Amino acid sequence: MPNILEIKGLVASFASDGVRERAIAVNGVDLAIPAGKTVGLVGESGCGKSVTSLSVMGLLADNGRVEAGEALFGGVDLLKLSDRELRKIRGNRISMIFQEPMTSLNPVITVGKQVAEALRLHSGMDRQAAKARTIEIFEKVGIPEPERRYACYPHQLSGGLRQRVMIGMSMVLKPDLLIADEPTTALDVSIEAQILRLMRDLQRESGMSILMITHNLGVVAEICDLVYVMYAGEVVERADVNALFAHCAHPYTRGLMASLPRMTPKGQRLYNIRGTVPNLRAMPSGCRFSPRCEFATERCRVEKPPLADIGGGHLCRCFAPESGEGPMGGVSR
Amino acid sequence: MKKRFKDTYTAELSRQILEAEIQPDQGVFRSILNMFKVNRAALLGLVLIVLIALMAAFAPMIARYDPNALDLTSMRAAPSPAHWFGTDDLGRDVFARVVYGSRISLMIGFIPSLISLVLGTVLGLMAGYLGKVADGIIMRVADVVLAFPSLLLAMVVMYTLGSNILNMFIALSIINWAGTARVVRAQTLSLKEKEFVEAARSMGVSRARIVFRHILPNCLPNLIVLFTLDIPGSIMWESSMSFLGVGDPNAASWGLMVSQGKGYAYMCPWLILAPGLAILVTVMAFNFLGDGLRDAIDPYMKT
Repeated sequence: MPNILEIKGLVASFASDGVRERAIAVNGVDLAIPAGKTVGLVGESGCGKSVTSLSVMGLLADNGRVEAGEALFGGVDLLKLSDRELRKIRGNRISMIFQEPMTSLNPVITVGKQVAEALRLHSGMDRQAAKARTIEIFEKVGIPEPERRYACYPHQLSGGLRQRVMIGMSMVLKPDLLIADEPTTALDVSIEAQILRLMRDLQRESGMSILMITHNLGVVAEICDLVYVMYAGEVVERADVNALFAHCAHPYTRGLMASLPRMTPKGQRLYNIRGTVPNLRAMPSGCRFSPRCEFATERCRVEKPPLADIGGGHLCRCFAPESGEGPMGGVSR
Repeated sequence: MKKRFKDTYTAELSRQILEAEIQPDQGVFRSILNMFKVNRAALLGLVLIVLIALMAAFAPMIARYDPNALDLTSMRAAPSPAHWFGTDDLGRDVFARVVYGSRISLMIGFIPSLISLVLGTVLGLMAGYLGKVADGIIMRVADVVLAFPSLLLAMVVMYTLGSNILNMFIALSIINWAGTARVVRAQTLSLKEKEFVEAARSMGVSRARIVFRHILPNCLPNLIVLFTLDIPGSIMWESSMSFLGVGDPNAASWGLMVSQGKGYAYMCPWLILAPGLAILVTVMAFNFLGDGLRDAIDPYMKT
C-alpha cells in the first residue's frame, strides 16, 4: 500500500525567552499515512501531536523550528520547500481542520466568502463559479439552506454548522490528505458523531487520507484504521486499530485505555496514570515513560527502548511489552 | 384559561426562537443604529456634523456677502440685521467668513485624519504582523513622534516647509499617524495569534492577503472611532497653529479668524466669538459622535 505522507525522523524544537537551550517538542517521529486510510495520532496535551502536523505544513510558530527529518509527500520533501511552494500545497493538496470552529473562522467575513477564497486562490475560479461550487459543497457537508448560509457570518451559525463549514472549506479542493486537529473536541457528543460520520462518508467518496489528531480514544475507535500513540515527543506504539483495542502493548497505552470510564461494578475507582508528563527540558534518561511506569525496571531507567515490531506490524517502544497484569488488569474493549 | 395562556406563551417563544434563527445577532451596524436611539449626544453630534457639512457645501447660498469683499464704510460694525455676526476690521462680513471658513476647517479636519489613518494603519499592520526589525523601527519612530510635543513638532514642520495649507496637512498627518499605528499594531498582535489566521495560512493564503483581507477588516470598527476622534483633534491643532501665526495666512480658517480678531477682543468680541463658537460646536459634535461610536463598538472588540 503506497503511503501518501511519510514522516521520517522528525525533530522539532522551540525557543523560549531567557533560556538558551531549545526545548525539543518532537524527538525523532516516524509516521506513515497510507493512501485512503485514516491514521489516528493519540496522546495527551503537550506530547507533540499538533507540533508534528504543523511542522509538516510549515506552520510552526515563529519560535519553532524543524531540526531534522523529512516529510515525503508524493516524492517531495515538504520540510525543504519554500513558503511559496508550500502555499500551493496547503489547502489544495493537504488541508487542515482545527479544534475550535468558532475561532478558526474569521468573524468579519461571511463563511461563504471564506470558502470561496480558498477556491479562487488555488483553482483560479471566478467569483460566480466559486460561489456556485461553495454552495454545492455546503450542501454536501449537510448545511441546510446553503444559499442563505453562504451570506452568514460565523457568529450566526451553531458550533456544528461552523465545523461543517470548516470541513467544507478543507474538502472543497479535494485534497489528498486532511489533517484534523481535534476536530470534535469543542462539540457535544451527538454533533461529534455527525461530524465523524460526515468525514467518513466524504473520505469514502473522495479516497483521501485523514490524519486524525485526538486525545479521545472513542474517536479513534470510531474512525481510524491505524493508530500512533505519542508520549513526550516520541511514538511509543503503532498498531492497527483492532489490534490496539484488542491487546495494546505499551504500558502508557494500557494506562490510557484503563483510564476510560466503563461499566464496572459500583465503587471501583477509575484508573489513572500517576505523575505528570516530564518537562521538555528535563527528559528522563532511558525510557521516557519509566518514571510513571508501574513495570519499569533498572534497565528502563538507563537504556532507551527501540520502537520494535512485536508481530504483524505492531510497533511498541518497550523492553517488556504486555508484561505483567498490574492493577489495570486485562484491558480490552 | 391557563392552558390558553400556556399555548400562546409557547407560540410566542417559538416565534421568538424562529426570529432569532433568522436574525441571530445584531451586528456592529445595528448596534450603532441602536446607540443613536439611546445616546442623544451622539445623535446631536451627527445632526450638527450634517448641518455643518451642508453649510460648507452650500456656502454661497447661505452667506449673502462675499467673505473677502472689503467694505471700508462699515469696519468693525456690531452685529445687525445687515451683518448677523458684524464685520471685521476690514469691513468683511463675519457671518460669511464663518460659513466659508467651514470649508477650510472641515478640509483641515478630514484630509490629515485620512492621511494619518491610512499611514498609521499600514505601518501598524506591518509592525504588528512582521514583528522583529520592522516592528522595532516603526514603533521607535512612533515613540519619538509621540514623545515630542505635538504642537511644537507641527510648528517646526510648518516653519521648515512654509506656511501653506498643503504643508498644514503634512504637519498634522505627521503628529497623528503614530497614535493610530500603536492601536493597529496592538490589535494586529492579538489578531495574528487567532486560530482563523492559522486556518487561513493552512489554506495557503499569502501573508499580504492575510494582513489586508483577514486582519484589517477586524480592525475597522476601531479605525472608524479613531478617525472620528482624529477629526476634531486636527481642527483644534490647526486652530491653535493659526492662532499662533504659523497657519496658512490665505486660508480663512476659523482659527485664523480668532487670531486676527484677538487684537479687538474687548471692543468687538463678535470677531472672536463667532469663529470660536464655530470651532467649539464642530469639535464637540465630532467628539460626541466618536464617543458614541466607541461605546457601540466596544463590546464587539472585547469578544
